[in-house]
Amino acid sequence: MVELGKNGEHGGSRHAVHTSPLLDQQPVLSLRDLQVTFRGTSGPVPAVNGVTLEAHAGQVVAIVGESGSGKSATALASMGLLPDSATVTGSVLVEGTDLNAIPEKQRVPLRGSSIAMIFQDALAALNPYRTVGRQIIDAYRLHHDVDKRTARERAVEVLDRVGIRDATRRVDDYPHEFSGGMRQRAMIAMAVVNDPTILIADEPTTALDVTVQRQVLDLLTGLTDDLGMALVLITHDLGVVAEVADQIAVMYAGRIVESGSVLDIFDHPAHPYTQALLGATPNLETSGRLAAIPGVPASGTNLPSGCPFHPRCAFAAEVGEACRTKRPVLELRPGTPAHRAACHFTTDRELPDA
Amino acid sequence: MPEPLLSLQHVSKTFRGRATPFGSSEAKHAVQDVSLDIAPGETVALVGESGSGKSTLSRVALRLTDATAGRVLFDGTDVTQLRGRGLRALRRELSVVFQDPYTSLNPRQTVARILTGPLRNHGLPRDQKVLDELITSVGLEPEHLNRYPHQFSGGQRQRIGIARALATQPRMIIADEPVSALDVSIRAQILNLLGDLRDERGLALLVVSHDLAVVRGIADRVAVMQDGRLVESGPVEQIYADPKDPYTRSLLDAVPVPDPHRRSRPLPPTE
Ligand SMILES: Nc1ncnc2c1ncn2[C@@H]1O[C@H](COP(=O)(O)OP(=O)(O)OP(=O)(O)O)[C@@H](O)[C@H]1O
Ligand SMILES: Nc1ncnc2c1ncn2[C@@H]1O[C@H](COP(=O)(O)OP(=O)(O)O)[C@@H](O)[C@H]1O
Ligand code: SF4
Ligand SMILES: [Mg+2]
Ligand SMILES: [Mg+2]
Repeated sequence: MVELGKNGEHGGSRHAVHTSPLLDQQPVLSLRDLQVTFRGTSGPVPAVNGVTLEAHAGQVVAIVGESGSGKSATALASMGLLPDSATVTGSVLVEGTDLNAIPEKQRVPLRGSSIAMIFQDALAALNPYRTVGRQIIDAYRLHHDVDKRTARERAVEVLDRVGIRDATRRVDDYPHEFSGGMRQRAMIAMAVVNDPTILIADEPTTALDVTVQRQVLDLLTGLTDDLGMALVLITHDLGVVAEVADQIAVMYAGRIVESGSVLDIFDHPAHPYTQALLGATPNLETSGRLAAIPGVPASGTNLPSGCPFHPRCAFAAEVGEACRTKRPVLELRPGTPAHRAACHFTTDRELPDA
Repeated sequence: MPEPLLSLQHVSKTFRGRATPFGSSEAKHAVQDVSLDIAPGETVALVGESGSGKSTLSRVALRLTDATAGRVLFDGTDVTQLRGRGLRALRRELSVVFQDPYTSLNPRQTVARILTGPLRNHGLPRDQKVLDELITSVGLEPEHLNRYPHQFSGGQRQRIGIARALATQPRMIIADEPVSALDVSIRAQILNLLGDLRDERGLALLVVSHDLAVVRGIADRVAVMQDGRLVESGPVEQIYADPKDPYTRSLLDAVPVPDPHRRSRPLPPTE
């Protein structure tokens, strides 16, 4: 059994962080040309449109985007958890196995142990009629053939690891006896009890106060660093991203419009949407007006021609017709190992400073 | 100091515990002895964590609920006991914008009807010209007047909510978490709109938020609540640069900084 290390000590993890990038070549999660389309009442709703993304062990990969940009659909597709009304094409390689190419029966044993997920709303994700411990024990015994006592010890251990004080006693509490922050920790405990290789966190702190958000982020990055998990963090908050992400994918209208390392994105944004989002993000230092983005976010059912961002883009006029008619593709920025952007304006130049 | 427009004086609000078959639950002291003045044209941000009493204090100020103790003065008049005509006069001068633009607009009314409501209540002119001016003042078009709330995005609905609040030409608006339900790119639009309207019309604003970064740009003064009490209030520059209360400090420290060069987690190695 894999020990969950406590703050900083490595409990003999299967996925210890590799110091050399060469040892770490294989991503544990690889999405290739992922497409998700929902069957809607008035025709198909394209939600994800060709997403390609990789996550390595010990890495925090942030998916950033506004509501409706396809973040949750990407996450659920990665888990194989989308409803039947969704058509998924492309591949979802989880430790080399394509989840999208195998039947549900073969996915079940991977869920929880290879890839696990936590949701924005912990209260809705936890069963109100079962104790927190019971739910963690059940999750553990799905993957481990152990007696109840061993599983219970494991539940206490993992609750303790996620920072629930007095875990031996609190393990028998019901979800409603926990505060919002504690419930989020309990859900994280349930997700990591089987020591998953990949953890997908879909807006895990959006409903929380800043102080609790900070604790939950510290917990998640601690688990990533100590256990060598890959953390896919979905958020709309660029402040959160700057604090914890290693790699970033910015989504707009179901597509990745820019991706790269955290420094690529923050120091040299190469897509006007990324730059505009940075300008519109409130911070503690800027007084006066924020640089607002005009218009409303595009969505699958209301997809502008050409570049989906063109009705809101400050550079579209300068480029001219291409922005309205030709969809830009995600291209590697010259001189960078992995910084990509999909924009006609920045194909051959940098964005002027905002 | 100019005379305050809104003056909350030693306001407390206690919710009585509910009786259950197993005895009654404890009373909840949602607001405890809070005093806060807002001058004409001034913008005050009311910040604090969930459950700290921000909404309850706003509702007391709006007379949507009655204080258990203390007084509320608006423009020098004690409004704590107002009824009937007096209360109507207060409602005309002091409007509200709610957090959730999805539930705060009647889905069965057109925008025109939503805006006409407060005008009719106060016997104000409500011809086409008035409605056109109202809707364009929040960045929408006169043609939007005939549509229903579900035909708008969240940000547009919040604009309609603001237009409704402006209808009676109030002197003050209380906005309870006006942008927390909105997308990042839309938040700045709505905050800037509120700021512009305030400047044009000399409105006083009380903006409630749990996020200190969100109100940085719009507030003149910040008031911080914790567990029903006001722990600190001061000019915006002082609160952000030199907070006196440790709780304010902890709130500021927890706000994520959108600059990776200042984070505590190590940066990824550059190839
Ligand atoms: N009608 C009510 N009956 C009983 N308790 C209430 C009622 N309304 C509010 N409370 C309690 O009063 C306290 C303050 O609530 P309030 O809604 O004012 O907080 P808030 O600061 O606005 O929080 P949030 O940021 O979550 O909106 C909380 O403990 C809340 O549970
Ligand atoms: N179950 C569903 N049925 C139909 N459409 C859906 C469903 N879930 C999501 N969508 C649509 O897919 C798009 C992407 O949604 P989602 O992935 O939830 O976005 P995000 O998580 O970025 O807010 C949106 O247009 C949304 O309306
Ligand atoms: S392709 Fe054109 S419209 Fe799209 S982001 Fe680039 S400049 Fe703007
Ligand atoms: Mg989502
Ligand atoms: Mg509130």
